[in-house]
Amino acid sequence: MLVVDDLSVGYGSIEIVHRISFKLSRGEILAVVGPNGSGKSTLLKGIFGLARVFRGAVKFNGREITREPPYRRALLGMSYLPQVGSTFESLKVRENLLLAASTLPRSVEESRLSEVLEILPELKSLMDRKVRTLSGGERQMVALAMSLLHRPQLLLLDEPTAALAPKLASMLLQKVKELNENLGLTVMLVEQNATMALRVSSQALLMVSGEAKFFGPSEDLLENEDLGKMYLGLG
Amino acid sequence: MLVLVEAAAYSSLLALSSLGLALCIITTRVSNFAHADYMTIGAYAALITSVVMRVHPYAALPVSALLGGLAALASYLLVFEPLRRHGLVTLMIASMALDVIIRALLSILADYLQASLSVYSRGFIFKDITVELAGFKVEGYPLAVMFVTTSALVSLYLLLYHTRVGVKMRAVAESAELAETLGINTKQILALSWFLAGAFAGLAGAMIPYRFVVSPDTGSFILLTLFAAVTLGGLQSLLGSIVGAYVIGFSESALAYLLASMGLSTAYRPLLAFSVIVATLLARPKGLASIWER
Repeated sequence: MLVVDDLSVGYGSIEIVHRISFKLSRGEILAVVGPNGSGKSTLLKGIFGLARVFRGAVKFNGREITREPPYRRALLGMSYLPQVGSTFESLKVRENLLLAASTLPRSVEESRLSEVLEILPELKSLMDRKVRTLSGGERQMVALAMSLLHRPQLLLLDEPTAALAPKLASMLLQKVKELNENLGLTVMLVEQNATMALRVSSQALLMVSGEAKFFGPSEDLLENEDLGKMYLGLG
Repeated sequence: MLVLVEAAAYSSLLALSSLGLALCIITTRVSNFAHADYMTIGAYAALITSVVMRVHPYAALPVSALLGGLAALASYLLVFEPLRRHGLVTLMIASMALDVIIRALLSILADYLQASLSVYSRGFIFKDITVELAGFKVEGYPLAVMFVTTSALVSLYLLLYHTRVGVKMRAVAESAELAETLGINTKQILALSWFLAGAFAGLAGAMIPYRFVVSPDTGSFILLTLFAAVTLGGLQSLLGSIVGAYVIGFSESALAYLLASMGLSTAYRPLLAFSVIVATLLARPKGLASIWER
């Protein structure tokens, strides 16, 4: 589904991520882990077109999208949830969802909204509250719902549990896992909490100083004591 | 009474144009120093249309709106969109340069009109019409300004809050990057916002010559008042810019009336706009909008 080939990404004239390559198949969860400043979020932004690509290519469902603007990638079935500012805070939950649905054909808006509220029923009681009054976890649920309205094939999550209490973080990742299992959603998850991310994912990419140190099954990385100790604080 | 009507008309004219300026600030973060030039373009569009088509300048309002809108759209696509990611200072300097360029182009146009078509085009005014309303003879200008402004404001409100495009415009205004991640073509939405901003300025500009002498530099004299209205309104609020425009418009009119009645020159009028900008930024940087957006 997603092929990242020799990709180098950065901002302005500064290259932060160097020559990353991997393939992600349909229905997989890829956890991108690594120390702070290793370029995890930059890689995700590069894949979605929000950071400058210096070299390499991104293919989605066999189509080269490296030079496509972000909104085109969204329309092709990618969804990106930024680390912060993933909702319109001055608007109500209902308005946020309607905004996200505004790019859908009018005929499917209502049914898609009901569908998402079935998946995330906890939002039903929050519909008329302004997002700025919600907790961090509730905001992330709203952001997730906004993404799901488009029935994305690939969900790019940039540290969705940042600033959440451990219990809420665990619940959110469990929800992501459920979406993956029930809807067949492919997920690329950038996470600071490596253990939590590796437990819900099938594949792992360990990044250090902008380079890939490991790509393979998550279990293998969890069991790799050297890498775990050195870069993830595991063991 | 006449003074109040004139003040209301002048304030409406400011509101129409300030709204466009605020729209550009909110959506693109550009404090566009060329914004008032779109008003001048609207005035010249009305002049040329009335001469060429032999119609009253009021009939040229749609042409003024269209040309004002196209000028703003071209500014966005050719200057501000390519520079969008270069920071606020770059955008502001670019808008100052654009202001000089547009005024120079208008000067060339004015010279051409004068030389080739023998149209008096530097310091021109429009002759108003008089309509009879409930037995009273009323000048067309205050009626036209208030009708056009009300129609534009209602149309913009309906667009923003009752259409899908409007929902996208609000989304892009709050966070263009987030809107883009949701599949919204932000460039298209920003282009529409700029066209509307220019069209409102063009409409306002087409009505200036009924009360003020218009030349290629007219925009530079109005710009400060527009910035005062938008600053007083809170810079980031459409409603604030409208309220700010009415406060500034009425205050300026009252000041001019007061100065004239004291036998002093009304040239001190811009003093108010300067003072409002400085006082607002010092005392209440979020402007009047902070009152209702708590």
